[in-house]
Amino acid sequence: MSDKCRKKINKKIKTIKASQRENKSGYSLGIKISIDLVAAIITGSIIGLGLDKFFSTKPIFFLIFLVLGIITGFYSLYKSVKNLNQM
Amino acid sequence: MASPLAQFEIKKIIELDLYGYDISFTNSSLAMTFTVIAISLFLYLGIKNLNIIPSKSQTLVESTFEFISSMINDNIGKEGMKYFSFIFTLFLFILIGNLLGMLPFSFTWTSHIIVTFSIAFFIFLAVTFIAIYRHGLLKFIQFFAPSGVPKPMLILLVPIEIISYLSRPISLSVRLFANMMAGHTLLKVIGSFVFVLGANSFIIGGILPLAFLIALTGLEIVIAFLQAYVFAILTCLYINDAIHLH
Repeated sequence: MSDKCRKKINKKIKTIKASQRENKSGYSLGIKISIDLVAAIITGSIIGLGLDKFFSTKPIFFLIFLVLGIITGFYSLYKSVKNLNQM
Repeated sequence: MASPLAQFEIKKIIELDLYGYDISFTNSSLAMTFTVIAISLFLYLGIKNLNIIPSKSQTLVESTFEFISSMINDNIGKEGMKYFSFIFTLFLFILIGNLLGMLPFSFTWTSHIIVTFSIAFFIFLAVTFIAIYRHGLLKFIQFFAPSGVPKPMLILLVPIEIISYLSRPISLSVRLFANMMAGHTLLKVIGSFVFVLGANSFIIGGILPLAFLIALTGLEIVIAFLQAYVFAILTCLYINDAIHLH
């Protein structure tokens, strides 16, 4: 067997193994994305409420960090969907 | 009939009080104790008689070991083997806890958010300390400012990165807790269908929900494995982030 052929076969084995490793089930992916989205929003609102309590400026920080949390949630959703396309 | 949520009730077995803090031994603690005993027995019986040609229990222990070590090698690399014992313990603790929760009359401690959150929060603290210890505070702060981004965008991106970093323990704990809690509630609801429909229609009505219940029990066991795996692999990824800050 020539060296070229062997290299080709090795490359193919590598790509197949890589695709197998990243072949996640749809269920776990769905859970991951949905919980990431919710967790970011919860974290944002907790930080906002904490800062409001500290500075006693009731709704201001809560609203700012709620919006930031929502942006973060959708940003992480965007990132995981982008990774999905690259597979 | 008991409500589907009655199975998650915490009952005190031995009441203990430490300077006003309630540290009673509850059914949750009992379930955790059983988990630790089960893991110890599993590992002890597996490696009691070490042979070159392994027995069944030895094969099981060895394949678990191989599984975790290959998970660490794939996700962290060679430097990650330092954290092997931690991830191995974490994986087995959650896996056996989930599986023991599937037994009738037992208690699933992974279905309580406070338990999963405290595990996830200590992982989060540990990962943060590892990152600061290995790279220094300055490099750790730079982790939140991705390189190659125009400066005006950083005003928006840095808070986003910080919030997504802080949301890690919440997403890690909620994932495990929500899966276990939802699964066990669903099992109980379908189980009450079997009883009520069967009692009202001379058993015939109960057959279909019973078949469904059996299928769901299988699914629940798969989820028990899957969630322990996901918890361990996410811990690996977080440690990887801490070791190779980029």
